[in-house]
Order: sequence, then structure tokens, then C-alpha cells
Amino acid sequence: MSSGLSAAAEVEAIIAEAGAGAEGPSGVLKAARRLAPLISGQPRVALLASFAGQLLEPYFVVEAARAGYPLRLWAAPFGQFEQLVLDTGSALWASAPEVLIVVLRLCELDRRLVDEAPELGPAGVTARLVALRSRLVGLARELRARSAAPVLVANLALEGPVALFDASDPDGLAHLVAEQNRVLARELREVADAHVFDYAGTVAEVGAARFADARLWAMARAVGSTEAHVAMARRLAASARALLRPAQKCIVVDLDHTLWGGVLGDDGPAGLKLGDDGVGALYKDLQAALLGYRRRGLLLAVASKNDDAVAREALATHPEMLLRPADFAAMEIGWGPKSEGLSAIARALNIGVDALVFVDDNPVERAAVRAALPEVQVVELPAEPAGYVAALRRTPGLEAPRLLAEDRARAGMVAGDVARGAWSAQAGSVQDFLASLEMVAEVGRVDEATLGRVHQLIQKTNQFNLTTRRHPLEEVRRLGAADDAVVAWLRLADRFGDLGLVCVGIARAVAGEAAEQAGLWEIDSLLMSCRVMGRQVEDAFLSYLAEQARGRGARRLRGAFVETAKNAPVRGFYGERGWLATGDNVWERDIAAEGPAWPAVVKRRPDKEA
Amino acid sequence: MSLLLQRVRKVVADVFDVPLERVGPKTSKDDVEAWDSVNVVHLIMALEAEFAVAFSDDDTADLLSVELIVALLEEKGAA
Repeated sequence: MSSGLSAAAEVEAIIAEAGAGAEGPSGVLKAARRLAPLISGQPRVALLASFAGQLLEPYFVVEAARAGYPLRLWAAPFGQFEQLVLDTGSALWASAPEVLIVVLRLCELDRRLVDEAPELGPAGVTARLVALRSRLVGLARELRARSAAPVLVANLALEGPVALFDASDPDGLAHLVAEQNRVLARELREVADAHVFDYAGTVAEVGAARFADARLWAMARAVGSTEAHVAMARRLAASARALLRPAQKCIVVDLDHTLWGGVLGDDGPAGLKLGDDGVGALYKDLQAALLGYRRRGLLLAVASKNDDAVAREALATHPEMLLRPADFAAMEIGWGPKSEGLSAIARALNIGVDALVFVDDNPVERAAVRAALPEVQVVELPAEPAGYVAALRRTPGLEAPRLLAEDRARAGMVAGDVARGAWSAQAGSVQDFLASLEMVAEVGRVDEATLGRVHQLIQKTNQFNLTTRRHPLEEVRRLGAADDAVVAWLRLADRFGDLGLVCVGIARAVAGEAAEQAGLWEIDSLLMSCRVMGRQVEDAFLSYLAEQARGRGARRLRGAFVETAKNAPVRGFYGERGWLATGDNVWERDIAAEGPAWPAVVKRRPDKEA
Repeated sequence: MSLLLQRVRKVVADVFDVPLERVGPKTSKDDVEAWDSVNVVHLIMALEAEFAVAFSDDDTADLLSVELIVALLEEKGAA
């Protein structure tokens, strides 16, 4: 463990030394070489590209480490796709990739399309684009057939000026390409855990003129300029990270000079710069962007050195404020160190400090938080508010590859949590309180409708997670369909609202003759959203999981606890329930006669099938 | 040894991961294993950033040894 920590610190030191790209390409190469021995245990991303992907490798390694999640890259020799994918003995599969990325550039795969378009006409152009799109989707399917790793496929970009009035023609090239990109997105949705890598967006972000370097392309099939390499590396690393690691959960913002211009204590609410004109518009834009993240399901919180009552009053009553007190799940306003405020916010929201993103204009505060809580992701806000929104949007870990309905609903759910807390203060005993919540659980086995949320919970649940096995989506689907396994879920509602799908469990038959004779099954995974901890919902779910396993022939259940840095709260889960310890962190329970009981405080909604 | 030469030696050493003391004016693509047609892209990018110059298509064909690089940079007015 200690060597792991020091490796993380060393990675950080190397990145700090390399600076924000100030050292230039040789600095990147040096930093990547120094990082290599430190990240040998990190996930590897495989890149199949129509250009020289290996030139991206040092940039990718540095950008991933800079974003706080080191990754390695295996780049196929350029132009090799199908042969590497189809041959399971190829170097691609030998690299044991955990994310698979395909980037085929339109300008390389169909080099003459733009020039031939006038002769081809819209139907001819479309046919050529469809051929390329089909190849991309075909590659995604072939990858999926051979691996459970998430797949990213780049969309198509024109990457250069087209005819001046191309956009004026409804059948112009730009429109036809955009149309195929949309179909590509639709078709990739049909392939499990396959997503679009926004290559077109990356080119646009840099600007096609600055992205391209025809010289380096002609020489060695380099994708573009140095800037292009940096942008590609940053976006590829951010996309891979989003597929491998749960997104951050809460954005904690400062107030003075961050949410508004000026200092509330000095300038008073009327003196704050916030509105639709001048510099005030820039702060309002940041508020709007934060509100956008809240709508995506992230929580917002405040950590500010201010007078608590005055700050709350300004948030509640300032006419130009877009964010109001109700938008924040927690507020720590006072004069203590912000690191303490951040820890208190994490505790109040029942999440880890590593799920926090900290936004503060003051470099001293940022440095203090970094030093005290290195796990917190700190956004490097530029000195000028004009750059705030861009800096926030570039922050890695704020986006998940797919927005689920539950993400959108989360903001309302947390408001419900606050009401539940107030309710809890009035109720008497715990049992009375739990009964008064009028909880209703719906249980079921995973199907296509629930697969996305089930997989998401498997990826992101840290605290109430007995084994923390991050099964890929395809594996969850496979287990869900298997005869000797059960993938179950529980959805909860109470008098305050719908809490969504909050529990996931996987039970599977233990292999081997003796185990089969004994009807021994093991609980491969058992996890629950920490939002519903302490309500006996876990007991209801365990009862259901055991019932389902029994239904498939299980007579004895085995449960294990696999320790991580986060899951100490469930260390004693099986022991507390009277299961028999049969080994180190392994417990068993007979369920031949009867499984664990369903608790009275949770009402079970009749099964849909029943 | 001119300052320009020293800076070029450092870039070559950094890009191709060879010890600085092993890079002299005569060091060329034949002496350095990593100095191949792909990695030369890293060299071009690093030199262009370090010396704030832009190489033409023709120039890039001349990046064959430390000496040649120095001559090319002098021609381009890099100090």
C-alpha cells in the first residue's frame, strides 16, 4: 500500500514538473518515460487508428496522469484494424486492453471524397460514407464479440475547408457527414458498452487549421500538429477514464470571485458583479454551467469563507442569482480551513472526498486543499472569469458516457433526503422511524431495461460494496442470462419520493463437484447506494437474492468481504447477520430450509410476473 | 561549443532518450536506435517548440544529424 501511495505522489511530482505543457514536446517525452515504471499496474487502452497512433502514446500517458487517473496506451501500427481484431492471437489481444478505441479518419480512409463529391452527387457521397460507417460498426461488433472491454469508436470529421457554400446545400458534404455520425451513434447504442469518441469535436475544439499538419502526416502519418496530439490525448484519456471509473459526485464551489464577482463581506449584495452585462455575465455563465451539471445528476455544494447568514441571504435573495440555496446539497460557510469544510460536505452527503471536485478562484485555497486532501479533484481556474466555464467543462470525471433517467432525477431525490432527515428528528425509535418512511421495494432480475443502471451501480458504488468487482456491462448481461447465476436488483420508494434502483446483487453457483452436491452458491457481488444505508433495505435485498438463488437450486450461500479503501462500513455485514465464518472474510449460511427473512419495515411490491 | 549546439544536443538526448554525453555534433540517425521515420516527428515537434521555428517539407528531410540540425537552425536565424 505504502509503495502505491508514494507512486501516486511521484506521478504527481512528475506532472507538476512537466508543467501545463510549458516544457513542450521534449518535456512530454521525458515525463512519459519517467511515468512508465510507476504506472505499470494501470489499465491499458488499445488504439486502432488510421494514423500513427504510437506518436500519441507519450501525450496520452502524460494527459491521463495529469487528469489524475494514469493510463497506459497500446497503439496498433497504423492502418491495421480487422486483421488485429479478428485474430485472437494478435498483439492487440496480447496487450490485454481494458478499453478499445477505434479512430478511422475520413480523410485517410476515403482520401478523395471531398474532391469527387461534385461528380458523385449526394447519393454517391452517402453510399461512400455508409460503407465507412458500416465498417466502423462492424469493428465495434467484432471487438465486442471478443472482449468485454468498453469500446469507443471515433465519429467522422471533414477536417478542412469545404466549398464556401457547402453548408448552404441541404445535401452538402458537411450535412451528409453529420447525418452519418448520427446514424453511427444510433447503431453503436445497439452494441453493448460501445460509445462514440467525439473525434469531430476534438478537431473542432482545436480548429481544423491548427489541428492539421500535412507535413507530419506525409512524413509519418502523424494525426496532426503538436496541439492536435495534446488535444487527442486529453480527450481520449478523458473518454477512457469515463468508461473505467465512476464519475465525480459533487462539485464544491467557492462564493466570492467564483460564483460572483467581488467580495460579499466588503461590497455588499448590491455591489456584487453578477448579471447579464459586463463581467457579471461571466459569473452568471458559470452559475448556469453548474446548474447544468446539477441537471445531469451531480450534486452541488458550497465551501466559502464568509458570514454564513449573510451568504445564505445573498444566495436566496440576490435577483441575478441562478443558483439558489435549494440547489446546494450542502453548505459549509465559515472561517475554518476549506479542507475541513470539504470533509464535512463529504460526510454529510455520505460520499468519499475523492468524489468531490473543488472550484475556487484563489490559488492559495486550491493549494491548501490539494495539500490537505490530495484525493479531491481541484479545478485549475484561470485568473480571469472569462475562462471559468471552459476550465470547468474540461475537468475530467464530470461526465458519464450515458445519462440515465436516474441521474436526472437525483437532484430531486437529494431534496427528499433533506426532508427525510427532518422527519427522522421527529420520529421515536429506529423501528418507528423506518416504519414511518412507508418504504416500498420492487425487486427483480436484470433485463435490458435495468442493465444500464445495474452496471452503473456496479461501477460506482464504493462504500456499501462487499466485493467491489467492477464487472463490465457485457459480463453482467451474460451472468443475467446464465442458468447458474442470478443478477438481481431492488428499487425503493418511500413517502418522500422514488429513490430509484439502489441495490444490485450477483449470486452464482460455485463450480466443482462437492460444491454442486452441496448446492453451494456464492454472493459474487452485493452492493447498495449509500443513500439508503441504515434502513434495513439491505436485508430485504439479501432475502430476495437468496430466494432467487434457492429457486435455482442453491441450498447454501457463501458471502465474502473483499476489503478496499472505502468499504469498511460493511466489513461485518455477514457476521452481524449470524452467518458462520468459514475462512478469512468468508461466511456461509444454510438456506435449504429457509433463507434470510424479509424485514417488516419494507413492504414488498408484488412481482410483476406474479 | 556554441549555445545552439548545446541546446540541440539536449533536445536530441531528450527526444531519443540517450545520455547527453553520448550526443555530439556528429551524432546521426545511424547512431541512435530510436531515430526512425516515426520518432523523427517527435524531434521535429520538439525542435520547433524549442527554437520557435517552422521547418518546411524540404527541411525535414535534412534532420539527419546534430550537425545538420544546427546548420539548418542557423540558416533559419535561430540563435
